[in-house]
Amino acid sequence: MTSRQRAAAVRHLACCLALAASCGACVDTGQDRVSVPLEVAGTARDEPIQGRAGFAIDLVRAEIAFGPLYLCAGALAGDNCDAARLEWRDSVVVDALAPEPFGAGDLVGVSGEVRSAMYDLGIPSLLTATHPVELAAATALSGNSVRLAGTATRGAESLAFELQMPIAQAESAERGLPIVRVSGAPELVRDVTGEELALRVRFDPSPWLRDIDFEAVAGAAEEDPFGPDGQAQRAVRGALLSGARPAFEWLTLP
Amino acid sequence: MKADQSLRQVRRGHVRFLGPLGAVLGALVTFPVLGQDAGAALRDDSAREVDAAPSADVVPPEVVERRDASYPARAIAERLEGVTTLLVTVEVDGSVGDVEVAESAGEVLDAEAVQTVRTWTFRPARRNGAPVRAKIRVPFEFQLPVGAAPEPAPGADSLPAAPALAERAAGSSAPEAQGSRATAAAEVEVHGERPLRTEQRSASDFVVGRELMQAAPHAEGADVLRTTPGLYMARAEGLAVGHRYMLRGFDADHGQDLELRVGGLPINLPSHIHGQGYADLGFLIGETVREVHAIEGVHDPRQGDFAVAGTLDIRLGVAQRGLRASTRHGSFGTSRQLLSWAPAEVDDATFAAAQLQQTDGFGDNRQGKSGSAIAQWGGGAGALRYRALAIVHAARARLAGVLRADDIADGSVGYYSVYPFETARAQNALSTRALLGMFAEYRGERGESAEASAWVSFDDFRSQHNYTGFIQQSQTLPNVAGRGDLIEQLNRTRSLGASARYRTPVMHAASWLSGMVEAGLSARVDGIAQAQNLIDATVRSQTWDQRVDADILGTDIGLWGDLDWHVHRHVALRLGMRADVLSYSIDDRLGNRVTLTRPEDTFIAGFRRSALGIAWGPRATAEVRPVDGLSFHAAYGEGYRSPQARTLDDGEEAPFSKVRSADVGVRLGDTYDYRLTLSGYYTHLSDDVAFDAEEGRLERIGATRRVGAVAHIELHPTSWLVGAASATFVDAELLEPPPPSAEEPQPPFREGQNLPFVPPLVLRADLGLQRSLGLALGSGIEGRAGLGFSFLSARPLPYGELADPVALLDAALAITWAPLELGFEVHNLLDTRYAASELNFASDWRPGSARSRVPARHIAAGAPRAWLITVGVSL
Repeated sequence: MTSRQRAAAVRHLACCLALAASCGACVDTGQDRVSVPLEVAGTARDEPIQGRAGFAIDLVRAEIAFGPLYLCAGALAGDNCDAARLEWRDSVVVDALAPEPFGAGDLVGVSGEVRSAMYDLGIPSLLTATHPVELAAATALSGNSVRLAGTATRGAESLAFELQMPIAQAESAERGLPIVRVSGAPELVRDVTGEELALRVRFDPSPWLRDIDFEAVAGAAEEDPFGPDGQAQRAVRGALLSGARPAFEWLTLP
Repeated sequence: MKADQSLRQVRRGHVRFLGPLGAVLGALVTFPVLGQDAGAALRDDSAREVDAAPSADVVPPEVVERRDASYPARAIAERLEGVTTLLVTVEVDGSVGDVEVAESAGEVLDAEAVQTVRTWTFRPARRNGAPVRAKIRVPFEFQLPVGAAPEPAPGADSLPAAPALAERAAGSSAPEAQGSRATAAAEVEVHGERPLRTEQRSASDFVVGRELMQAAPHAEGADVLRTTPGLYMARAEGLAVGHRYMLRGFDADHGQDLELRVGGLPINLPSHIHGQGYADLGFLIGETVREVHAIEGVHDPRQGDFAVAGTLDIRLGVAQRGLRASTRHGSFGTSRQLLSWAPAEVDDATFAAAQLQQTDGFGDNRQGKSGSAIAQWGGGAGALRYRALAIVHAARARLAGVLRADDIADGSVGYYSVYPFETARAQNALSTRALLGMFAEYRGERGESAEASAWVSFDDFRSQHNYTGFIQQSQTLPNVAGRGDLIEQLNRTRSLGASARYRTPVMHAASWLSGMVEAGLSARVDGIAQAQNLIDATVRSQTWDQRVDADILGTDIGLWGDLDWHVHRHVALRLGMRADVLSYSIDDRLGNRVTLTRPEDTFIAGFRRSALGIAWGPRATAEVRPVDGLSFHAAYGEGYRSPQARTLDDGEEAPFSKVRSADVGVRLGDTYDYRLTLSGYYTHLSDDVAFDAEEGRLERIGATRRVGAVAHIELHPTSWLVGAASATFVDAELLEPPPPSAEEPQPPFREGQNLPFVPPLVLRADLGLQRSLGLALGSGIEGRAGLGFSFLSARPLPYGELADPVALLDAALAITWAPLELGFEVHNLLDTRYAASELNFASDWRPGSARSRVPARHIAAGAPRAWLITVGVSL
């Protein structure tokens, strides 16, 4: 075999191997690795928030630590979301009064249907730790998940308040699971293909405050009625965990 | 010129048919053949004349594989010459039976001739297309070179081995007197009519001989199997965990889809906790493997449990007789000591060999040690033969486990490293096994034959693996979690088995139709104890969750029948049926365990159940051979795979997966010079399984099908060169994966997708050179070189990922002088960074930050470039 023939043989071999290596391109893996940008935003408040007992609430600060976020294939997030469809393991502070969305990172995962979600408020519970762990967003809020400040007004009655608190998983049986679950939200359900422009999560602080009993707080004997274990914190915590979900919106090309 | 050519082409001699005598037909055919001087015979035109042509319906044996004789150093030193004539019985399966010295040239030369001819394999003699036992006369003429002295002058040519002489004789101008001569003229005496049970019943059957297996280097014994067409093997979990096998579209994992036998002993372990059919070939000593008979697909009634992708029947025999010791050392503190003894006066079935291996590993936490001993004794003579085989093996190794590809990419962990947690560093495995088998075989003069065997097996397996990091929670202790997902598995199997078969003498239904019937049975009982726990490596291996605690008694009783009929000499039809009764009694001590979500106890944990079913199906093949060297094949068969018994329901009536396999193909060549095989196949499996990393074991994934093609070529273009190449292409599809459920809303697989872990394309090429290099101090110097190349294309992983292709090249050089041997091997010559195993699942190896729940690619690193030097001595 001449050197020319050898070179030709090597070239042919290389071509064959390249062709063989490209076999992967025609393999149907059933699902695809996808990445979808995550945007977060707040909600502009032109009007005061209507609170209980006729109080009108003007917020000057509403910050929330958000993340991590898991999107699940099952109808119920939680135990059955050991393998999530998409995840974003970071955290970010969201100014819930600023309507302009900004990118928080990318949700990464596998194509397929999303039907539920679960997330933490900057302080996730880990299987490996006895106590929940503070992520960067919570650290930025001095170890809290939410920080609120404003004034509650009813007629001539005015009550300035500041409220901040950590919100984390406390149930030992739920250790390792995110504290907020979102199920049955039609706007969240989607067969994700990876062609989505973004998933936008928009927070509206108004429902967080609706259950604060400012009347009782005003008359409370405590030195700091907005402190831990006070009714205000319980109300905000309850709202964030059960009723006051952010709005999820899949942004797609028209 | 090859010996088999001379066998078929050089016909001078006489044929004397004994004619029918009752059921016995015999013939005595005399051929001058087969010599290392065959080339000279062919140059003689008169040699082409057939003095008394054999009957057209009798074809003498043909050499399929031949090792060349060497001129013994002692014979050179003592200037011994002469002719040793052997009477060699070529059995119906092409193996060498009795060898008698008909004419002696002295003890030394006789022994060399006997040793040499025992390593040969033949295509058996045929009568009317049906194989028959034959006796051939093979003279070896040992002739010293003219002027050869015990200590020749430097630079003198060697006393070449036979092929070198044959090559010279075929046209070289080198003086013929340079080498020994071992002419071989054969008298072929056909003892009886034995329409043989053909070894290769379909186009997907392959016999890989020692010459080819030993061509490429092998880091450990089982690597000799890599030459098998379509087979890819990887050792991802160290010395103490079985290989991962892939064969023609099946990810057989540790053996779930591949029936493995060694020396007639079944190796697969049913219902093993680390995977059904778990088959660890770590005990194999490469030097003791005579040949591998690969039956790809299911079409032979003798194929039993786990013959889904096929069967590998590994046959043992040591060609190099005498005492041999070698030591091997190389990269990463790897070493191996081998001691083998094979008495010269008996055939290659008798030997004893032991090896010790150890390594520091090619990365962190990969140290391992193992020891193996294999002893086989073959006895008996004539029609009745006996064999006893004992295998003992123990290995323990630390494991690096799997690493997330994203952690490697961002530098969190090195490719060849291990996660820096105690739960990762505590990964290890221990494997011990002992096998003992007794075999008896009868081969009658009328073609009838019988075999019986009994065997026992003891196996212990214990491993600690952590695939997922820190995501497990205790299912019994509600407040316990995150102590590291170190899964401890324990599996102890005690097995007892026996088999027997009988094959009738040939029956003549018509002048153009003859055949025989075979009936056989096999039976085995397995007592299996298994457990799986989660343990905390940081607290003296505290158990923090129990997942499995069960005892299983499994029984498999197989019966088969086989009709093997020949229509004239051009068509062979075989129709068989096999039925296996599978029964299981399971004591699942954790069955019906109260879960955390149902804390009110109303019953006691524990669930005993039993199941019995019969797996049966036809096995049929058809072969049409219009002319010698060309044959067309079709095959169909239905086989089965026994289940993980613990997953059975009480009273389940089909405790097995059913496989249906069809093949068509063509064989061309079918001689020692070259063989070309092209085949296509279709396989349907009723219930496949795939590895589930979270539980560290196999889980059901539903029905699957495969459509594929295999091309294989084997070449012996010259006496000193051997090569083979194969390509296997498959389209494997998942038909009915488990649908999403509340507990598993996001199943890893989808209907219609390509099967995970299955490479669409597998390539393998082997090349070996072996020839005499000259003389030094009166002894011949022999050089060997070999290359082995494996390629595995990109393959799907669960959850939509794709594993990287793998391309590996190994090379070896060796030189043998007198009793000394020096070898140098390089594995992964191109230093490819590749994964011995790739998986895709959710894990979390960052215990201090938010947990990852999305499936991620994980790899178990394959070995980087490694070199090994072997020094050996043979006495």
